[in-house]
Amino acid sequence: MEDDALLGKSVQRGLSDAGHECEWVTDGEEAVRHARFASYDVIVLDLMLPDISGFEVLRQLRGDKNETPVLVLTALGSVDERVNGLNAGADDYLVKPFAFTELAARLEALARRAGKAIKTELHDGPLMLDLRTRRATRDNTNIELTPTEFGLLEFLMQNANHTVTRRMLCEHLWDANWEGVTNVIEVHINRLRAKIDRGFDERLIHTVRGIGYAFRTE
Amino acid sequence: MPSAQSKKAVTRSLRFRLMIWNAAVVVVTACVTLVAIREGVRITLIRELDQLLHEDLREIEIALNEHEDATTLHEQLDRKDAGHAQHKWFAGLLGGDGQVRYQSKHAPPASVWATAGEASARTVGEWRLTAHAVPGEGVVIRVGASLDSVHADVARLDRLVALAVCGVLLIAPLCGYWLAGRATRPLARIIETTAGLRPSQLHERLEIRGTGDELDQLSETFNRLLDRIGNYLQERRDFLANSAHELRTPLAAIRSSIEVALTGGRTNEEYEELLADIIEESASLELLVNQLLLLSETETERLKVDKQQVQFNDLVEKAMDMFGGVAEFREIQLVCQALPSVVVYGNQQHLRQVIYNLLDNALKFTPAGGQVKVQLKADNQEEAVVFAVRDSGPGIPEAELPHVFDRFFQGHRPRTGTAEKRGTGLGLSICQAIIRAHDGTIEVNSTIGKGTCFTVRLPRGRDGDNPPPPSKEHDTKLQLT
Repeated sequence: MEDDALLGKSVQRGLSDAGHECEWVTDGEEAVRHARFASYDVIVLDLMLPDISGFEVLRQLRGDKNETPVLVLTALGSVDERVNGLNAGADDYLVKPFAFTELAARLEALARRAGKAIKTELHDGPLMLDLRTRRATRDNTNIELTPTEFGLLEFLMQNANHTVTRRMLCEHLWDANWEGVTNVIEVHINRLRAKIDRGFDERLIHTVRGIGYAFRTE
Repeated sequence: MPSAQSKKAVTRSLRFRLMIWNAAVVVVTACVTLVAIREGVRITLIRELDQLLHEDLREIEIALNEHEDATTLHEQLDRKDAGHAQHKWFAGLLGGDGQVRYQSKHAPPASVWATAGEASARTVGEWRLTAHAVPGEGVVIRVGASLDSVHADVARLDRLVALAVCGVLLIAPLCGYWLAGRATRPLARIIETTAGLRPSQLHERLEIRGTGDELDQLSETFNRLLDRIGNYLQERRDFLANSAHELRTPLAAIRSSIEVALTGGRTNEEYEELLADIIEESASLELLVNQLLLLSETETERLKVDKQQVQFNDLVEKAMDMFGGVAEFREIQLVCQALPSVVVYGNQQHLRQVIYNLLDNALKFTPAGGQVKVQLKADNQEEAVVFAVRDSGPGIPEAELPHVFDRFFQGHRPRTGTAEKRGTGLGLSICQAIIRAHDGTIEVNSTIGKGTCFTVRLPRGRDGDNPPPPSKEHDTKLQLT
């Protein structure tokens, strides 16, 4: 749901190009109607709609017991709106203007998350994460990870084979994005790599230059 | 109706009102003074008359004792009577039996005459009377005079007073108008000068006449205000120019990468490389724009809306974890004492930025093997939260210290020889702006060769009073499930 023609169109085109089926509606009433009669993997919702507020759409959706993941777009990145949005039942949130890759990565993450049951274990290739004991093993060898590294790996593995942006990792680990030149994520990734990839031919964590990282098994 | 309006403007003007007040005060003062003088003169004249009457009483008493012969005495009295005729002087002698022995020709009617009392003179109608009983003889001497002459003198004086009041009435407003004009002339000049001021030409200053009066003070205050506005505008202009300049650097890099790509004939790998370069430069452009936005956000009231009770130690803990990796990578010891639980009322996102910026800064300037020490404590005495970040870097030269919070200021280069990217030079300005918006202070201390310490003091929030909403846990859960 996006009322800005240019932005809506570019998002639609971008998502279609990425192989997703995408419907674009421009007002809140229509959005609620669409959501009632069709099933979506994920909904992108702009908070500033011409007729009813994005929060209202969200409330109506959740009132209908519609649990489709919702990503909220806002113009201002204030804490208030973020908290309001998340409290109203949004699953993620992005401040305009945003990079398209950021939106796409987040939408894919949301869609994947929604499709999966809550797991107690993450298993991918040689790596295994026990989410209850917070222990990681590669080829049954125990790997000592700090809580931060474990959180990082968990997030990467949940989104295996997809790129996650630095911003997403930052928000996941510390609830906040670090805006600065120093790449705080990179060093954590490097330490994590050192622990899980050292001594193995197959590298599991890949850098996607300029965007972020991806966990991939061959 | 312009004439009525201008009339209104005139009567409202300071000059007119000063004139009216001035004239009123002068006229009232003059009237009171003149009336007082007139009354004083009248009383003095009557006293003098009383004095003369007393002397006459004494004279008659002496004559009465000297001359046993009544005729001689009466002759003498008649002579005296004739001599004082213009004052309507008169005298009378009353025998012990109440019989009138002598009476002057001008004597007033008996009803007036009989009221003359002893000891002090009194006024009866147009007359001034006094009396004296000669001891032993039973004779009462009475003398008196008409008050006509006194009244005539007072009337002359009254005419003079009236004339003087008329003069004052005429002169006071004129003088008042002139004086008020003199007094308000500097004001007129202030108005004229200020009316001519434009943002583009603020160099004009009001004239200081050197009298040190209120108008001079006003002019000085106004000039200082102009200085401040001028400085502020200059700062804005510099800021805008610097911003534009800083934005141009990544833009130029993006453009040149695109131009290189457009010349064509390159391998796919080379194109990918160029595109990645463009993304990186876009990221630094984005960072700069975001920081500029943050800076402008901290300067507006918006910041105040988003305030809440923030568990400051949690923010510090997260930041320690976040930058711990960077510190380890650069072989810097990042140490932190046990964090006490402290609450600050403020904007969580912005307070976080302060912690991040200070930590990032400290790590950037500390050489490998160095130490960055983070301290957080509650100052119970001052109800303040003190957050300090101390590095063991090269320190900041004294000449640069006052400028570290200036926008776009970048002092000595961070550790040379590393592929460290250049900062925006806005980090500390942002810290300062945020801390100021939270009614706190940020200080810097530095010793060359030993290191630098940034100390933030923030007013303490209240625990429990308004606990921070469980947003953090909420977010985390959402992203974990």
